[in-house]
Amino acid sequence: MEKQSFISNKQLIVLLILTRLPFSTAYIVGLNAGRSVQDILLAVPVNFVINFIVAIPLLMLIKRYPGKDPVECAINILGKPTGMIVALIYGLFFLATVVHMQAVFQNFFINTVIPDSNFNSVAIPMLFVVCFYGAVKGIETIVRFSSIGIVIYLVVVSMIIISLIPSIKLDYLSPQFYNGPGVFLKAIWAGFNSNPQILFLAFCIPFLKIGTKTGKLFMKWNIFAMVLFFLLEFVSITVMGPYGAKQNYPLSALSMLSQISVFERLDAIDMVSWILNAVIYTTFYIYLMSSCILKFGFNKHKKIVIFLCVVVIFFLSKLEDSVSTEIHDVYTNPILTGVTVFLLIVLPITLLLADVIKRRIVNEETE
Amino acid sequence: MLIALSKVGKTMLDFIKAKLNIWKSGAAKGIGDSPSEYTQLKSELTDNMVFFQGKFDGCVDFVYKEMQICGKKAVVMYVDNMIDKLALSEAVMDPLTKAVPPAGMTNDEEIYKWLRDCVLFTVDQREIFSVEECQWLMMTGFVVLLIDDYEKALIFGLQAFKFRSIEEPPSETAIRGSREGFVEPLRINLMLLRRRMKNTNLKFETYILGNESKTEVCIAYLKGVAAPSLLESVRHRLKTIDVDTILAAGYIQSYFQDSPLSIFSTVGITERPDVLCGKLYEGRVSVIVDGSPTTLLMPYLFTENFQNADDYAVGTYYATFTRILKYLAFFIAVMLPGLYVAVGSFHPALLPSALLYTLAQSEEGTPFPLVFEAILMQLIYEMLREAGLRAPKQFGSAINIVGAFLIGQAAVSAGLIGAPMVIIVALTATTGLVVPTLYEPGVIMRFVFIIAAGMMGLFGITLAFAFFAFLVCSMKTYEVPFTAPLAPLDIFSLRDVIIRAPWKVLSRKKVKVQDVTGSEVDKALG
Repeated sequence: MEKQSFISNKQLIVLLILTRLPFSTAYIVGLNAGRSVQDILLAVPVNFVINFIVAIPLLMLIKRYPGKDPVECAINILGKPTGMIVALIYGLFFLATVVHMQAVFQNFFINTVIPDSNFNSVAIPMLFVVCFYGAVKGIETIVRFSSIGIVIYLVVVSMIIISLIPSIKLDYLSPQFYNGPGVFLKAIWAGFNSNPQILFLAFCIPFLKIGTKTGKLFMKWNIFAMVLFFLLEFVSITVMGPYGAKQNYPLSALSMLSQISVFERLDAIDMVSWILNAVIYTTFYIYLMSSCILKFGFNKHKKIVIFLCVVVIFFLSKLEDSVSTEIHDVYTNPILTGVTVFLLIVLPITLLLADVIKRRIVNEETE
Repeated sequence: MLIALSKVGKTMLDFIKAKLNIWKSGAAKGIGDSPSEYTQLKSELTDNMVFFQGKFDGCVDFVYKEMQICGKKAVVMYVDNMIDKLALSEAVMDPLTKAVPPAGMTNDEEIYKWLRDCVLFTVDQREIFSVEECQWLMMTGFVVLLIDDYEKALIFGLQAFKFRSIEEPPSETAIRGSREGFVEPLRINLMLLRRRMKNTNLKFETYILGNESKTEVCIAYLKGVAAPSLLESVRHRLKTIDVDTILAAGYIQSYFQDSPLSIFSTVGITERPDVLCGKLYEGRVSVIVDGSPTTLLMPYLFTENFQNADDYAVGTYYATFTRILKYLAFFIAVMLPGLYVAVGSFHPALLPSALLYTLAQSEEGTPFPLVFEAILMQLIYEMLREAGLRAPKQFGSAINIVGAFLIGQAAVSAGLIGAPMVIIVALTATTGLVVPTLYEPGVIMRFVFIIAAGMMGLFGITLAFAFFAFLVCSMKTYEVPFTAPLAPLDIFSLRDVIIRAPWKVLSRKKVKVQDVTGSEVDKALG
């Protein structure tokens, strides 16, 4: 990791927001909920509480080792070999997530935006030129770019929302639990599965000022994310109603419906913010992946490691793209839930317990 | 395997770099760098004169006059047309020829001191001891007096060479600001600064650089405001400059750049003393080169490209309006042709039907794809611009007529180019000049956006934008983020970035460049 780099709390919040936004709204709303789509709105505040509870073990671990990411914590507690295993586990998780995201992005792009394009023509310039360059430049560059990206995103989203205000129908918000609590629970499940941001925060700890209150930071991020999500989903549901529940990309669908003076529809502009988010998201994941691999002692070959990460992502996402990208299945998939529980809860708790035992042994030996 | 390959690649790269030697750096070799190597003046006047006549052999502008002072042989030397001859006669020659030592003064040293302190009255008068200094000072407009039996020389600053008068710089005009701009002589430029900042903290440090040209280069800064580490970094870079000739500030600008291969410059330039004073007041350091009206400024942020002297002379609202206009103009200049190509080729549904039909009608009969039209027209415009700049003035009007006819009328009526493309080129040309300091990177970015749009529409544009954004966000200028105070965001500093707050607000707290959010000037350079 580049210890000399420095990012502020606000920059990190913005980065976390951007990495959460582009796909989560799509997954949560698009659950084939039909007339019960309004139940999703209630799941947003519940998810906020769950996210915070789930984050507690990792926050406690980080608090015990200020200025260190989970891998460094593991090295400190259980030694370098165990730290390497932890780095490998997190690295593989980042790889799996970014590969899936790339596949979904390519799928959306080729099927919706430019049907004449193919995977290579979209992925090669994006991964091998832009994302590789961004990842090589490091975390400071990524967070600075994300503060530009969030402005563009907010402008586009504001344009869409403002243009759709006349189309809002509050009738779509009721009745609640029309078909039972199934959709509500499924939305909570999907929200839980699609929220690994606490991991990102944990991996960005070395770049924050020493003494930063991570709990407070996570709380701020979570509140900001909740408000934004609530707003976006409120507009999606009240404008599109059950029609929105059939959309894989509800924001894109919303932008097709919106119209502002010279623009007939805003989907192309929405696409711009979408691509920017995808670039930031992918670059950040590549950076996290490479920083996990660098823990193995390849610090002198950072560019090669990043390039290899990009190559692996390219081929795996091409493979996944050719197999399936049924997005609903992924975020309500029990395997992913298991992985999320393991990475967010089990692994940090294990490390915490090991730390407690280690400290006790050390204390006893000292006495 | 890959690691081994990378090592081989690195070795090869180092070998090529060493062969090309494009990044070589070494110690500067100018006057003042190694005084111990100077040649001491001889006590015999004849020896000294043999040396100087040999050195100045073939230099018709070298003038010397032999004379007798108090019974001793003496020589006055200078370079013709560099000095005020009348002042030389009145202040040096006349008193010397009339000088009669007081009765009883026979000691050589006493006579010398009497001549120096009681006979000669020029203000800028010093003693020097080496031939190198004599040579250099003569060529900067000093008069040298050598007296037999003395191993030293007296010099008189009687410069009166011709130089361009002080006038408003054409590239940085202001409607309500000062009309003065820098000129070529360094000392005049220092005077222009001193007149605006009557403050003893305004310091000037001079260095002599250029193995052949021996050019005087000055570092200007405000003591107590500029970060010491920043100043030290500038000094260090200046001392590592190893070039033969420095004829303009541009010759050494790249030595102060933090990202020499980037299309954006991290070194600011200005020809206005009022602007330079303002920048020094914000903690920046300037480098002024003798013989060049352009001064260099470090560190230089991206947002400074959108500020100019007039912003601070007009009202807040209008200044804010023009500031926003400049950002908009830069956006149009860089992205409009690309956006037009992208929308026209890939996303026509974005436009309202009426506008779409109008554009489609105009482009219907043209034989080329939009991307080719855009590249062609931009290239023609850039060629015309270059021709207009480089061609003798007599050809200027002819070029304008041909250009306007070629672009504006003939190409459209011949059906080669669509009329909207002409409008796009005209708009781009106009808006490109709103922010002149970003013209060069703007042109390069424009072509990249056109090509990206032609290949992949808005996706291509977005990727190109992301690439440039990564580039700009990764840049640092003397450990200050190039994109500050926008990224990282510094709300307080924005009062003079997107808007121009009233003077009461601006003057409430002085913002030094090293205090901007994300700056690590003191941490890293110190």
